[in-house]
Amino acid sequence: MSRLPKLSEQIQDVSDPRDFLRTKLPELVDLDTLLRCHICKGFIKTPVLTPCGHTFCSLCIREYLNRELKCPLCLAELRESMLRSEFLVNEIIASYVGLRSKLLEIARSGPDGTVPHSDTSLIEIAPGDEGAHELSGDDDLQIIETRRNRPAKRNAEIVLMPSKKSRRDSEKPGISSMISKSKSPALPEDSAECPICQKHFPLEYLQRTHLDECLTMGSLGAAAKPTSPPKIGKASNETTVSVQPAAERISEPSVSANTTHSNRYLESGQKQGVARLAKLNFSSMSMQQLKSKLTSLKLSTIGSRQQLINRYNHYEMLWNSNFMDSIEPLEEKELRRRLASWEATHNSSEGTLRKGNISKLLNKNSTTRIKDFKTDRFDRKGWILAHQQEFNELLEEARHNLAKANKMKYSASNQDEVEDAEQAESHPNSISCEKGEIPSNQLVVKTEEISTSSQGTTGV
Amino acid sequence: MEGSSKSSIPDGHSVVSRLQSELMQLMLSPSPGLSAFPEDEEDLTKWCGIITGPDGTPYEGMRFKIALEFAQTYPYTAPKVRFVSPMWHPNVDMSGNICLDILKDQWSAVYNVQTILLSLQSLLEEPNNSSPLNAVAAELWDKDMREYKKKLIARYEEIDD
Repeated sequence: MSRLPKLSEQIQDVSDPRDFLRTKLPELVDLDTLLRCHICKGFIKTPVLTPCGHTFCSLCIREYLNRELKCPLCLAELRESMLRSEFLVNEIIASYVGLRSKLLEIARSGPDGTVPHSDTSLIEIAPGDEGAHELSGDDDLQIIETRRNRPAKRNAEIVLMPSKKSRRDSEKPGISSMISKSKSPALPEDSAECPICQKHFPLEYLQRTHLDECLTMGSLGAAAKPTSPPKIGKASNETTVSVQPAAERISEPSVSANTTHSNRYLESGQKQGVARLAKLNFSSMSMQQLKSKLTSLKLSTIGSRQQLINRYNHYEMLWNSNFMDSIEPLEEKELRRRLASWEATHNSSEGTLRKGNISKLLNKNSTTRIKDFKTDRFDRKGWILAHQQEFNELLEEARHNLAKANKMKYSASNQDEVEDAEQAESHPNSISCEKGEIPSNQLVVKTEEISTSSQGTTGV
Repeated sequence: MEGSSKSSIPDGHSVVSRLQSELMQLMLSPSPGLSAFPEDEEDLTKWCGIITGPDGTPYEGMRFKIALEFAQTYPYTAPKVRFVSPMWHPNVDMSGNICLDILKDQWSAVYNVQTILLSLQSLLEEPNNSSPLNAVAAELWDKDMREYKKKLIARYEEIDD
């Protein structure tokens, strides 16, 4: 129920750069490490850059700066106002994170270079994600080779499959012409970053021609809803011609799959209309002022002065991180939800804890709670009232399990037991509702145990 | 009611998820001469570490148990770290309390269990004798290494695994 799972279960899902250590691509340990925050050790969320050149999660570094005005890595002087968001890094990481499990799967696959996985995984991995281009030369080669072994898909037959060498050659004129072209005041929508080589091209060229060259694979790259014939005269002719029909056939979804992160990056920019929340000088504020400040932000004003201050400080951090740094700010409502979840673990006094919900109580401090629970000091009535909902859910679940178990027994034939079960089913209700009290042992035991123990009491 | 490990972790800002990563890191790439593991399967905030005395020091070949306790504010605040094994060292008092700058005012959120244990190892190698917790040890370290070692051996207790 609310017991913590065993440690081994807890950490089996924890990802670590060293997951790649004994794979075909041990070089990825380095990349995987680089994309993580040194404060929380997870992949950087809403990355911000310090003037000293270090990148952290926006929330991690803001939290840190509440205590210490220096960079945690190099100890250089640092203030919150100096932080700058890094949308590109944000998208690179988001892209890599989306790709990671597939990369891992591929990197772990057979040592002979053959990949015993479905083609689809390869196809999906190939076009988009920025993670792929980080592969070192050899790894890149490997992946390309496996792709080439892949049986021809939809439109592979009409796409030229140039050798790597000719791909590189044909790329050159395109790139130079594109670069000079993209310098003209193009609208952001008109240019995009190639997820493979990271160079910028007009979107149309990228979709129609360049991606193919980069990927050596038409069915993957040229995912474009054709708009108008290529304006770019210099783009290598033979590929353009051969790709065109392919492009027309490819449906919308693959477009977004290929370019989501690039587009998000291109569309990112300074948000207007939401002001930064200021740091407050609490020492000069009355409780009344503090409360009205919280009320104006639609925050609760319950708690001690210190709790209110903590609440404001944490919300200010969530707010500024969200509206100043995030590429896709959340709504205020969601920020308040996050504040509440933070308060549950970080800003609760003993008093508020008592009013918390059952799972929180048991998670938080299970041993002392249960100790209390067995003595007379424990406030049973209050507990039951506070957790009526949870009890009912548990009872519901227990009844359901019991019914299921009995159904199985019934199929093995025995009518008496069914009657017993029916009695047992009605019993738990009477415990919680009529007597208003629950024997202490039933609160902490698992649902199945509730059902058995209530079954036991039925006969009495 | 189930999957509490996931639901109880608030938005990546949890001492638990951070400690899970650290544990994973220690397990996947252990450093020679040091180890650490949560004391209790259900409580990740109390760890027990073991460091081996560095070669070429009076502590060579000895192993010391260390207790680490992480507050909800970790990694923004340093964990409480102390020697559980009896220790004889200028910067460790008789209760095992440690005077080490990175565990006090020089703490940074980028430090972790591994860096703490490594720092303790180097503290064994190079005590900071200017601000000793154990003045006798500090004096002996500078003046009478034989006597120092004698005192150390008298206090040392082997860890039974």
